[in-house]
Amino acid sequence: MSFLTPSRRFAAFVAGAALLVVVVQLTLAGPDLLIVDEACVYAIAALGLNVIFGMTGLLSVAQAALMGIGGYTLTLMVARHVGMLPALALACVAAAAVSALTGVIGGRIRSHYFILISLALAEGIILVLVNDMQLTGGTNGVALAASPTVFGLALGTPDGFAYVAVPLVFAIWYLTDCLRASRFGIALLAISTDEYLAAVAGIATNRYRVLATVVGGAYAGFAGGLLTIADSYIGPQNFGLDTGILLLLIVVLAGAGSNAGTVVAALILTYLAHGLLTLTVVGELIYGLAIVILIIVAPDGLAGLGRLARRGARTAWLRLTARGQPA
Amino acid sequence: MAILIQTLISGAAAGAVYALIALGFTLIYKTTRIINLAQGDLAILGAYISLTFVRIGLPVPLALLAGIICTGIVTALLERVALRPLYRRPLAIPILCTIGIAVTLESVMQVVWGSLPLALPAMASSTPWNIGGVAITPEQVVIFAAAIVVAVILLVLVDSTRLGRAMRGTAADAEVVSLFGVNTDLTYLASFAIGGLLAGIAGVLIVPTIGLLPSRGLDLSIFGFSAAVLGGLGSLPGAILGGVLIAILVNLMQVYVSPSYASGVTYVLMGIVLLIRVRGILGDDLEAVRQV
Amino acid sequence: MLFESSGIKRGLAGMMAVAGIVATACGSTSGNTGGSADTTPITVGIVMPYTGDESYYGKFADNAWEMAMAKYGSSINGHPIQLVKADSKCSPTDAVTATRDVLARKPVAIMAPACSADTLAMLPITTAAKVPLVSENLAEAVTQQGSAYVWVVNPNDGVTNKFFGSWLVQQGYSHIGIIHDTTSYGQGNSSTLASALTAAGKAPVVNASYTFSATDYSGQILSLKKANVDAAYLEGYDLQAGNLVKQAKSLGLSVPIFLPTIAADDTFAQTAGDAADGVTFVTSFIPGMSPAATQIANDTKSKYGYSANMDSVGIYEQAVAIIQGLKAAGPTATSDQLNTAIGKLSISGLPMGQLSFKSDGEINNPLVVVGTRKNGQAQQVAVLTGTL
Repeated sequence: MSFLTPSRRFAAFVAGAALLVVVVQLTLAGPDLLIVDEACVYAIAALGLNVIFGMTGLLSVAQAALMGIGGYTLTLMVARHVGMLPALALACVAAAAVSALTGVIGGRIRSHYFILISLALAEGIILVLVNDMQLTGGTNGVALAASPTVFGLALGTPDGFAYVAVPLVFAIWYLTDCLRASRFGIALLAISTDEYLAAVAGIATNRYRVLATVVGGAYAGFAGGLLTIADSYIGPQNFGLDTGILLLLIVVLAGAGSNAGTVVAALILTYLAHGLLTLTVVGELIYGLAIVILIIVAPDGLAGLGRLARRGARTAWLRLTARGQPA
Repeated sequence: MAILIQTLISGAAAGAVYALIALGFTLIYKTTRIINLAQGDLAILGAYISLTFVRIGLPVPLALLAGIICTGIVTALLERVALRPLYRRPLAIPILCTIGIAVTLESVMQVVWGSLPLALPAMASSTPWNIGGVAITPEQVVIFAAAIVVAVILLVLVDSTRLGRAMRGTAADAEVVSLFGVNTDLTYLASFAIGGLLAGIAGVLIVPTIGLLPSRGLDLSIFGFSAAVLGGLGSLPGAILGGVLIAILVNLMQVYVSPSYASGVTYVLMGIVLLIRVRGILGDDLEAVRQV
Repeated sequence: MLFESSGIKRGLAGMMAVAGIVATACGSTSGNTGGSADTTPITVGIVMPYTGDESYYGKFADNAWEMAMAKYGSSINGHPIQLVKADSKCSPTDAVTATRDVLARKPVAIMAPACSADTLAMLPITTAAKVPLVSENLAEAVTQQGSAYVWVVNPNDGVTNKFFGSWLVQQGYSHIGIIHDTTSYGQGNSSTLASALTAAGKAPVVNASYTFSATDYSGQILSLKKANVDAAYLEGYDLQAGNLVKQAKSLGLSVPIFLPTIAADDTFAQTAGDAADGVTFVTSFIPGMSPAATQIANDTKSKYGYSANMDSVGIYEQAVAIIQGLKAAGPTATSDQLNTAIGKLSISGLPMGQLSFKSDGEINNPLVVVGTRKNGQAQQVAVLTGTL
């Protein structure tokens, strides 16, 4: 990790984003591009869940429902002639506020049982979204009133959206890395490792837990808004427990709170869940089995595999250049 | 007035359904600290297996029994194959694995039995008795009685038998308990096997009322968890109390306040319980409460 | 600071420009042409739920095409009809993905999914691509979006319930209670009935809802009893509606019970058991109501083992409309030309009566029939509008 100084790291992110945008646009079309778009949205939401679960240890299935809050807020604001960017900002705020609720209510529960309150929240949100037909259009959903264009790119189409989504994922990934290295991130790490010791060391555990849910919720709101822009449409079906579980699995597969792992896992799992095998009856079955097998076989997820690979590569490099000192 | 009484009685009967799921969930939680999110799916699996036995010609009571036993076996197998490798890891991981198991079970059921709704014959009739203007079906009475009987048996098991003591000890501190000669692996297996049997019992009793669809599993699970949390995580009588209370409250809301948002009461209630009194009404287990 | 020379910037910009041009060139799907050689296949898209709870619609669709092709032909002047399918999973966002998938193969027409919310989400995309969308959806919103590229082969709930609502009031009911589910179908169905009843002067006194996953309906049923209704309209999918009716009877709801078309289905009858007898329902298809209806009921049962219902027959008529439209427009027609041809169709001898369309896509001369269940069979009682 000493090779990548902060400025080199930043440059790497920018270069990576640009490269991927070009590769994606040149090699993919139509349905595959749609999967990449979806994977980008889920990657952003999963990065938020990484803050909540990967870094803080709060097991939550509500991230998808929070995406829904963001998406519907965006839709309602756009219908009232609010600009797209302010609407997106409001989407983040709304989702963050609701997410903070779980943080406050869950203040007295152990992290791994946090799933109970997140379950209640997720189902409650869907209940309101489905029943409040005046506000949300019910199960039919609502079309987005205006489709934004950025420099002539129509964001409502798969390729237009990919131009914006891929760089956004890189940007948010970079931000999350910064977050993890910051005081905030270190505090979260301490809390999830040993809460008692963290409190003894003077970390305000409650406040940081709530803050983690706020930050994670904001990510979800942003992702939900993006999804609505990509589809030019929003419906409650996208934000139920299925998606909530998918996001959680992405973070678990990523392993050890790793952001890079989250992004890669998002791509893999989105492809598995929504791309590959969609018409076949056994598609769902393979998805379920893959989850169980991955959890058992890869304890540290992709991050663990990545670490192994890096160690193996470094050993090979050292041997090759004979820099290692004989014992 | 008759409507009010009927609302309460119907609510209690519906609550017994949730209670049966909650009992299995609570037992597994109490003895392994794992939240088994596949409990509802296991119940539906039990019903599907029973249906297959009925179709090949077994008399209904035997078919139901066979289904229940098979569910226990399946659950034990799942524990051995999928959960045992995960006990050394942070508690979140086995919980997540049960989610994976739930997804897998649902898709297996869809592949094997299809997605069109099927019907399982009931043990008791669904033509109602009319007692003083209040309608209650024999089926509802059977479900309610079963919930109570099962809870009593479980209580005796967990409090008084050697196996029960071993289970509670393993949940509290597996390492120490093994020093006393308890085979922790076998204990975990037993916990899940019994949890599976409970799921099977719940399934064959409930399914005749609600119908047999692969997706029913998740629905049952959610109500079951809410009931267990309200009644108190880790308390078996609490599971019944929680189930009945939730169902009655939801029913009252539906009849007297708002028919559409009534089920939201479940979630609000869970939120309130977790905010004010994490251990629920009857719970005494401190596992879920932060010590910091 | 990041880029040492502007050369890199220009190079990158150049690459992005090239990429952009290539991407937009590959992405356009405005209007499609059919094959121009002698036997090039004609591509027709099917977007239906093939997995999930509603996957039986996918099965209905596959069988419907088989039956329709057997009767009306599977090729036009030697050009075979080639079906491309995608799974909409009865979820609007999946339907949108499936639609883009299908549109990439340049179909001349698309068979719309059975779930109305999916069709509504797909409609702007197929309309922009000028590809006709043929549907059997019951939501009236489908033909109210102003699209010139959508055709619905059966009466929507707005039309059906308008006649049914005024019929109910004519029969003398004044305190009507509605129980419905919160799916897109349930919400649309119940709100159209509620407005029809209100227009006829007798707004429903109770309008209660339940979620698809509910296991107990006693709360909703008791709220109807509390309001002393004189008629109950119970809506749901076959399993739920069957359980709802069974529980209503066991809780002592003794007023006449009415249902939508679902009451003609086998699964409903099996689930409700004895409680199904005596219920009345409104539909556009009852097996014995006409020779064509009886014919398709027998065919469906003998070939595929399930009973025909308004859904499976509607899907069949979707396929027929596309085939007949292709015959009229010709094998090399563009999707736009096919759209015009479908709009001008007039097909007789179909199970649900004569099929022709108004300019907004709604069906002309809708057929609305009232039936009842007696001795385990569905029987026709009255024709509210249209000709058999």
